[in-house]
Amino acid sequence: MLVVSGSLLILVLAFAVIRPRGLPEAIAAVPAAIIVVVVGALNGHEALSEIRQLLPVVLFLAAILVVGDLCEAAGVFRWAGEQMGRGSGGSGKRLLLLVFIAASVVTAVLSLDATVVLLTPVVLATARAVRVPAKPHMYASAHLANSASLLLPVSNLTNLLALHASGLSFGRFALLMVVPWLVVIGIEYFVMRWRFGSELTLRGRPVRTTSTRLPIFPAVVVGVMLVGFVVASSLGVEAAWVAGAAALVLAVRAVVRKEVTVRSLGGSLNIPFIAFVLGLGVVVMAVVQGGLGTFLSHLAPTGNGLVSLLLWAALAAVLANLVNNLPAVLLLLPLAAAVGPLAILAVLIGVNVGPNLTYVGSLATLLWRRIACDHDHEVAIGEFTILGLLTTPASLAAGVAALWVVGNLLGGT
Amino acid sequence: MGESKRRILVWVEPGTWEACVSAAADLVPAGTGAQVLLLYVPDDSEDLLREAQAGLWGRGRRPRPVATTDGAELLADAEALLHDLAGDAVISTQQGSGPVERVVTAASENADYLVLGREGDLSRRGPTSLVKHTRFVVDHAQCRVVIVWPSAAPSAATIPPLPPDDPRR
Repeated sequence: MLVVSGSLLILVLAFAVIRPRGLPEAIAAVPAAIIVVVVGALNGHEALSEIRQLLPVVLFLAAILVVGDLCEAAGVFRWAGEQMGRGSGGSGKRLLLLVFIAASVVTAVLSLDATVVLLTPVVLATARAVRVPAKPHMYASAHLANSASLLLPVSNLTNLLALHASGLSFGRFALLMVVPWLVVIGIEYFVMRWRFGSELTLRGRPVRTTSTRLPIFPAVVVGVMLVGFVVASSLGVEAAWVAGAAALVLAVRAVVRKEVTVRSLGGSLNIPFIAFVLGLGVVVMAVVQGGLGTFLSHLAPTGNGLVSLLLWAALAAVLANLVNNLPAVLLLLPLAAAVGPLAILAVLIGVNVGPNLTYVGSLATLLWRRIACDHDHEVAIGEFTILGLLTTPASLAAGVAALWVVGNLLGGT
Repeated sequence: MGESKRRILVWVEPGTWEACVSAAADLVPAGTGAQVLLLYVPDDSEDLLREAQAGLWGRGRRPRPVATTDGAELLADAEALLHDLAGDAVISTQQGSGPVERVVTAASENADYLVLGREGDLSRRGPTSLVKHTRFVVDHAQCRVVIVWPSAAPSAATIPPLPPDDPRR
């Protein structure tokens, strides 16, 4: 059975990376999920309970993506770009600092997707407008989408998956992760300042024109949404409802003001994506139950000591690079949950920071894309990989050490 | 074809373009003038962006176009500056695409002079003041190459002394 479900998992992952003819990833994932149930690799009840567990998480991400898109439509990211351009005063070093602040906040609040899809293009446009080399700022934005996604349960899909398994409240999660988050961002900052020291000394020009004002309404809605996450968590209400409400409020206003059309909103709400994650979850579950879980449990460390936590993070980072972060967290959560919340958070540090070794999220994805995709626009991988090697191991180790210290200080976890 | 004019290629990049244009203006002979090509080649940031977005699985989103001036504004400013500094120059501009060091090297085939800027470590004199792409162009260009400090060159005191075991010491 493991051969069947394992092969199906590899097929689903390969399809997701290659995306033949641009077909949605769900095209492979959903039939694969049906097959594992039909052949009996996973029984129907288990499949349904997995889906029930994943559904609120995926719905949340779908809602937060809509919130991000509507913030963009309202001009939030344009405003951020102009602030960065003006605040830099033509200095690459100051621009880098501002990019760090913007990317850390956007990632933490609106999730890593918003940083990759919405903020990074603005960072590129801003660097070009300021007339400084864009590379350090692009790399910073790309890295922080991963490494700054530690703070809140809503910052990364992996965090939300883990929140359910950990039994932590929203506030407790943030309390445990705020210091690791700051430590990891600090390491990224100092490595980039050092590595790009010369590029950052070149002078650009200050960008004077600031035509955009901060769109107050979306900013307030996002702020209320954050408070709502904390309140909802304490009441046992899913974060997806809060994000959905925020999306709805922003959507109604945006449609009334003709900033977006109902049709484009439908595109923001990504149904195939929801189907993909659910299908992937079922297939991974079948693989875990088919024997991979037992195998991984031999590798899995026990206990909440610093060494154990470091091993958890390392295992998670390796796995995230082998199969991508989403399957990695699905594979490891059941094992880490048996140990405790700190092990789960260490796994999160691993799957969230680990992908920075490459710019596409995992070594597997990088290799597949090199083999299968067009070679006309290949990015030189050397420099990004060097930067990943410089920051990732240090960030993992220091982030986990910070988590261990905080966990012991707070106690009770 | 009459008496051919001096052909000057200027590699326009953010951060160094003003110094390069100014140096190119000095190379324009008074009276006969020169043909100056201002060349800008964007880096691979757009490709990096697309790859990073491809790394987000299952989101099925189309990459968003980047709202940049795409070099046109930078080239226009460089052209205006050169026009002010060297009225005799016949100026053309070009935005290249592809691996930047190869594109610039290829363009140097049709030039008498190539002007480019130091982009590396500008705090001391030495080989690290040239970044990898610039180094490639300097090593492979067929024409005369003029290398420009974007601002005042660091002092000669930043040159390391002779090693203690050097026999000429």
